[in-house]
Formats: sequence, structure tokens, C-alpha cells
Amino acid sequence: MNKLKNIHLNYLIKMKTVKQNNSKEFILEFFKDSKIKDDKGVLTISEVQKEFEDFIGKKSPYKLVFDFDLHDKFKDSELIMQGSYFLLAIRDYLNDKGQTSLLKINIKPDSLELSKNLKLKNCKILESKHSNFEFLSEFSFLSIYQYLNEKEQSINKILVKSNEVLNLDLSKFKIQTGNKDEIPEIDLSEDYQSAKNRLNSYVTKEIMPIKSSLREKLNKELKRIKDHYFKQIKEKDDEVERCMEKINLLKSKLKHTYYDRDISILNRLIRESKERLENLKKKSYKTRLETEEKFHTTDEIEKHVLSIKNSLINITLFYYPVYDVQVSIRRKKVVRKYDPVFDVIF
Amino acid sequence: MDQIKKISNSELKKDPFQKTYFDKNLKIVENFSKEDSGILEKIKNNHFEDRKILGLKLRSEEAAKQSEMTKLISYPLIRGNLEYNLPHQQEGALKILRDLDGRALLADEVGLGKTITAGMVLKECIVRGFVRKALILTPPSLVNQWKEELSTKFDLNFKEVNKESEWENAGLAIASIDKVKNFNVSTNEFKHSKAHEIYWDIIIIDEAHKLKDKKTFRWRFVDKLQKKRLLLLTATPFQNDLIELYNLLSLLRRGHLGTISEFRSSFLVDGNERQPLNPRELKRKLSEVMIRRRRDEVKGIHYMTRIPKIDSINLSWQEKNAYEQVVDLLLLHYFDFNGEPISTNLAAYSVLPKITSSSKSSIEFLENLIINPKYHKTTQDIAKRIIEDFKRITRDTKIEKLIEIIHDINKRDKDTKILLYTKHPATLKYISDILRKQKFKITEFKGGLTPDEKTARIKEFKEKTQILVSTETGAEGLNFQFCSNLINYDLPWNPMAVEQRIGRLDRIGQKKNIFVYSLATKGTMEEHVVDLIINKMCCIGLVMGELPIILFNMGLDSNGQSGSNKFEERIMNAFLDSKNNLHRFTSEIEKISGEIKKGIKEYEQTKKYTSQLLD
Repeated sequence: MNKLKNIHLNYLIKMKTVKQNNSKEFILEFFKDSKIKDDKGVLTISEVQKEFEDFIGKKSPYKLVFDFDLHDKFKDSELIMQGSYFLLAIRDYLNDKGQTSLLKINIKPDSLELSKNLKLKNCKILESKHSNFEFLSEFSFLSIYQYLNEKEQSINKILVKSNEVLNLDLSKFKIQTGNKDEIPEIDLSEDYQSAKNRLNSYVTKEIMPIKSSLREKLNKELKRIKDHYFKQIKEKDDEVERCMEKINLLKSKLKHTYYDRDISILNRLIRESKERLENLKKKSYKTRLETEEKFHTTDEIEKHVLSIKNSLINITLFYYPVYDVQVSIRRKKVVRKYDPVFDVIF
Repeated sequence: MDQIKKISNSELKKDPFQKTYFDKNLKIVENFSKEDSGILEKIKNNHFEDRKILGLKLRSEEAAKQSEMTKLISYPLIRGNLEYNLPHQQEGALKILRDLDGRALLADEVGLGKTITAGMVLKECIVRGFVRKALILTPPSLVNQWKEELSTKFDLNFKEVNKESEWENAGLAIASIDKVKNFNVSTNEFKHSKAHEIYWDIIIIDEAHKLKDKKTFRWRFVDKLQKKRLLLLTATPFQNDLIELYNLLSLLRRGHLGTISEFRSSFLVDGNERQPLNPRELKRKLSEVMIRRRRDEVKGIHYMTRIPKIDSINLSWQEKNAYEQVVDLLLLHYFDFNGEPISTNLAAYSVLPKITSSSKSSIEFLENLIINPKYHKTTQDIAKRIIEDFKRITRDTKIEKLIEIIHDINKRDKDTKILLYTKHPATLKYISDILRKQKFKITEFKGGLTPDEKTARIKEFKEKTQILVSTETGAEGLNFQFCSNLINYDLPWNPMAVEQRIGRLDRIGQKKNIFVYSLATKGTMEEHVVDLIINKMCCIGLVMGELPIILFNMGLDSNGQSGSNKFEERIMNAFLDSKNNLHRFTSEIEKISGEIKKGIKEYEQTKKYTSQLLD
């Protein structure tokens, strides 16, 4: 048992260290153009870009530490941990940056390789020549799911070509930074719509477990409210009924009473019960309680709202050359197009 | 389910960027960022950026991703502002958010820092992006204290709402609950009904035990507020009977303890609303919505004793004569330019504190009166005569007493720090000059100093000088737990203000017992007021924060008709009604004293009763 505990503890410590290292690596990368001094775990970052200083509202140097003990020791330091304010500020700073990228897939077809794609026999590739560019767009969406006091997020990348979502691995290609002078003006609105539709299906899948646990919680709360008001209304109904029964009973007693004193008492009791009954009805408790129930039901529904925020954080436009290939079929020369990414001649 | 359908149909909105729909009864709000089109436009305009930034951006999203609610990510932001790291406060905030979904009754004993815990909840929610609209409702006298704490400790600037129109742009709002609960009978509406139209992400209600009665406007006002999270703060969730607790919890979770009939039959001994029938089960139910910690189970908090020392001053006959003349002037000869008597109330509130402060501030008042054309010549002539009398005074017995006290303190604890309070800048200057001549090391602290000047003077007091002479506006919100001697050269007639003075010293981190010296002139009304406020209210062993609750319970913490604090107003009225007859004044003070005693007794009983059930 103790061994298990130790393993678990070691795992937790390891995870904590991994997270600390990740944050530190990220900070080092983000400030790589600034001056960084690492003194036993305390990073002092100076000569930071003015734009960042203005954004964060604080001039460098920044003294950053990555664990509580050091933070305790250096009161003027900023503690960096997953989700900490400084990291949030960097994220916000980068929010309107890096939103678009242009990449070129550089493929030169090999005639021999191309020939393998020819389905007809007795054909051979004579020549291949770059004719125009084709385009692929990759949409990166950040989806944030917020509910109760929790927040989760995911990033989905969706590749689209001519309004069609693709499942294609581009890592096998040689990719380089693109040259915007090589491409024409491009409108990706329709591709964006296709990507959004696909995102929708991803999101639907991702929120399933959240929805399930949230609904379970909500149903429990709604049941509590429903039961409460059901009982309250029933209690009031019963009270009205009891009151009416009492009046009837008193009335029947009255019929068989002959003594003035008793008649007077019974009349008084009937009057009082009637007043009570009127009072109960006058306040229209049912309407009041139903309104209350609606208010509290709404309150619980609002409390358990699942809020999804999708935002496009980047579009990467890939372009690649499409080649005209001259094919010789039974000594006849025919020009066809070759798409090297999809590896098809059409 | 019909209820849900009705709500579902009424709430669906049309917004191109927002889709709201119900999946069974779960409401889902899906938003698409309006900025997406801007990115498409960039592509259209052939505007591209370095791909490496995207890599950094994706990593920043990962790094900024908030962890589950297992720790307070906002804590590093505030820990530098907090004087002490008390783990129970963080644990409480986490429990409220993680286990209780942000709807809780925080019933810690007084002195454990419920405000800080609530502030932590608030800050965490704001940093995590859960809260944009927050409302805090507090007793009238605590509005400013809350605002100050939220600003200095949590960097949160709350705007006080006084008028109805101010709700419109309310983001982070704070209001006196006594003010906003007002109900307009003719329109059958709350005056501040606009607060009910807002959907609040969080509402915090301080001293929530005042919400014990379902029939009150206060309770109904709170119940009508739409809220996602609700924090009720009180150390004593019920005072007289358990129905009060039921009512309080009804605000948090309707039906949590069943209907009132069910509650009576399950949890109350028949015919006795104070005695729980099934305390263990009741405790279990409470633990689902409540957090309560006792002082003796929390580490790191030690309370020091307040030792009151009232030093009576025997005025010389010349001083006494001058003092009596000023009082007579106020009550009998205080005329305006036309010879009409000036409201004695006004005179009492604005002038009386000055003349009881020091001869210096009395003379300053009289000199201003002489040169001010709004006063009648008779009044001015009398003032001139009194000034002459003041000039003939050869000794100042009050300042002599002060010096004697400082020597006594030094005998007890050599060179120990002393915080000396006066209400009036003129008196402050006068005291400082005299003490400097006596070779005491003095730092002056008054309103109007810049934050840098304040810091420098605190440092000077901490490191170089022995005595800090201050007005309350100067030292508001500052902490002097390294000092354990307080001298009230003059005393505000408002016990909350005195508590504030003592509170500068009596806080977590104070290692010594606190000596509270107060100067009072023998045989004057002041002597009785000082005795009441110091001996019967501020130094009777209550923990810091309890006196405001008692006064709030008694309805004495808000402002009265004059705009002054109600308690202060009662004393001033007693002064006016007595027509300088000490006997009459004393009997009225005794009456107030009796009421206070009763209020304290009731509070102690409530504490005991609460503890019996909850601890």
C-alpha cells in the first residue's frame, strides 16, 4: 500500500515538474529576443519589446519564478504556473498575432514515379511542366467549454479544399514558407463555412461527456425544486381541503345544536374558518408558488448552462504547383493535369 | 418539464454569432467569435504572418489553459497584498467553488477572515473568466471597508450603487443592503428593482443573518435577485430559532431542508423551535451548503487582549471656565448675522468635537467665528472674550497628561511604538510641536499625503521614530501590528470609528497585548462617553469585527437623520437635550449603555446557541 502511495506521489511530483518545465520552456521561447538571466531558478527578463511592456502595463525587467517556495523567498517575483495571470497575459498579447500563415508545398514530380499512376498500359509520361497553383486551407479553431466553475478547451485543425473537408496528412511533404506574390487574391468564406460545419461535429462529440455529467447534476437540482413546489402546493391544497371539511363539519353540528351559547360558538368557528379559507384563496398561492418555481427552475438552468465559445485562431493557406503532363498514348500526345498532393492525373 | 418548455421557448434568441438551444433541459449557448471575419479578410488582402508565431500562439493557449479547480490560480496575484498566508482561507475558497458550485453559507467564526475568503472566491472567478457581473451587499457601515479591502488586497474596484439609475452600468457593484431593500408601497415595487433585471454571476451578502425572516423586504429583495453564485457570510446563521436557518438556506437552495412543514417534523422538537430533533442529520444537510471553521481549529491566529486605560484630566479652573463658556456659547448664544439662533444640532455635530479635542482647536474655532461675517456681533463679542480667557490659561493639563502617559509607557516598555490619534489637524500640529520640544521622536501622519509620502512616513515610524501622531483619515486602511500602544487624545463619539482606530493594531500578527489609552476630561460629558465606548464596547473582550455585527443587529450602525452615525447621533442628541446638565446627560448615557449591554448579551447567546448546533 505504501509502495503504491509512493508511486502515486512520485507521479504527482513528476507531473508537477513536467508542467513547470513546460511553462519555463514556453517563457524562454517567448522571450528569446530579450535578455534572460537565470539565477538558481529565478529568471530575470529584461530588454523586452516595448509593445509587450505596453500591453501588460509593466516595464521589464520581469522576475519570474516557477514554484511557490521561490515565490515565498522573492516576494517581488511573479509566480508562473499553468493558467497563471502572466501566461494569460501572454496569450492575450498573442491573440491578434499569428492569425494567418502562407506555406508552400514544394513537389517536383518524377516522371518515372508518375508513370506508375497511369492506369492505361502502353502510355508513358513525356514531359511535366508547372502550370498553376492549387490551394488547401487549414483552419485552427479554439473551442472553450465553460460550465459551473470549470473550463475546458480544445484546438481543432480542419483542412479544407474547395469547400470539402479533407483527412490528409501533410507532414510527408516538403513544406516551406510561401511567397505571397505567387498567389492571387483568395476568398475562403466558403471553405470557412465547411470548416465550421465540421467543427460543429467535433464539438458535439467533445461535449458529450460534459453534457452527460452536467445534465445529471441539473436534473438532480430540478427534481429538488419540482418536488419542493409540488409538496408546497399539495400542503396548501390539503390545508384548503381541511378547512372546507371543518366548515362542513361545523355546519352539520350547527344543525343539531339548540343551545344559544353553542350556536354562537359554532357560528364564530364557521366564520373564522371561512375567513381562513378566503384568505388562503385570496393569496392565490398556486400562482405565486408556480411563479416562484419557474424563477428557481430558470435560475438552476442558467447556473448549469454549457457555454461554448469557438474562435478561429489561424488560417494557414497551403499552395502547391499543379503540373501539366504530356502523356503519350499510342503515339498520340495528350496533355493532362497532375496533382502531386493527391497524386492523381486527371 | 412544462416549466422548462416555457423557459426554453421564451429564451431562444436570434443572433448570427450565437446559437442558444436546449438539449433536453440543458441550456447550451454556442458562440462564434465575431473576429473570425477579420482573419478571412486578412487572407483576402494577402496579409500573412510568420508561421512561427502560430506555434508560439498554440503553446500560449496550452500554457494559459486553466487547470481544474484544484488550486487558486489567482492566489499568486494577491498573496503579496495579503499580510498573512492563512491556508484555511484558500481551502475555504476552493471548497466553495469546487464542491459547493459557488453557492454557500460561509459561517466561519468572527475573526477568521470571511471577507478575505469571499474576496478569494471573487478574484478566482474573475481571473478564470467566470464573473463579469458581481454584487456585494453589506451593512451600511461596512461598504467602505469592503471597497477598500477589495481594492488594496484584490485589485478589484467596486463601484458603490446609491441611486437606482446606477444599476444600468453596474459591473462590479457594491451597495448597502439597508439602502437597496427599500420598498415602494404605492408602486408595489422595490426602489432598486433594476438590480433584479440583471443576471449576476456572483452575489455576496455580508452579515447575512439579517436575512432570517422571510417576510421582510430585505429577504424578498435578495430572493428576487437572479444569480449564478451566491455567498452568504455570517458567523451566526440563526439567532432565535432554527426557522431562521431554514429561511437563510431557502435563499441558497430552495427545498434543501424540505418544505417548512417537513423541516418542522424532521428537525424540530415539537413545540420548540430552538431544539433540533435530529442534530446529526441536520448537520449533514448543512455541510452540503455550509462551511464553518472555529478559531481554535485554525492555525496561525492568535488574539491579543485589549487593555483599556482611561486617564482622567483634572482641568484647572481657568480651563474649565473656558470650556464651559464655549459650551454656553454653543447652546445659548450661537446666532447668525440676523440674530437668528443657528441650529444647535449643527453646532453640536461640527463644533463640539473640536472644543473637546484641545484648547488649540477651540481657539481656532473661535478665531474663525470672529472673522466670519455670517455670525452675529453678540456671538463674535462673546467669542473674543473667551479667546482672551484662553490666552490667560498658563498650563495645558491635557497635554501634560499625555506626556505623563508616554513616560509611563516607556517605563513599562522602553521605546515601544505608540500610535497617537486625534480627530483634528490643528490638534495634531499642536501635539507634535509640543512633543518634539520634549525630545520625543515624532512622525506626523494626516490626510492628503501621497501614497509615496505615506510609505516613507510608515517606514520612518517603523525604523526611526517612536510616536506616530495621526488623524484617522491619514491612517485609514493601514496596518500597524508592530505597535501595541494606542492613545486616543480625543475620541470619536462613534464606536465604529474607535474600532477602526484599534483595528490598525489589533490584527493578525500582533504579538503583544494592546494598551488603549484614552484621555477624558473629568466632570464633563466626554468622560461618560469615553467610558461607554471604551470600557463598555470596544474593550470588553470581543474579537475584532464583532462590535460592528452587534451594532448592525441593533440597527445602530447606519446613519441617522443628520447624516451622522446613529449611535453618535443619539449621544449628540443626549448632549443637546441635557442643556449642559451633566446629570441628565449621564442618565441618557446609562440608558444607551443598558441597551448595548443587552445587545451584547443577545449576541453572546446567539454565538453559544450557534456553536451548540454547528460545532
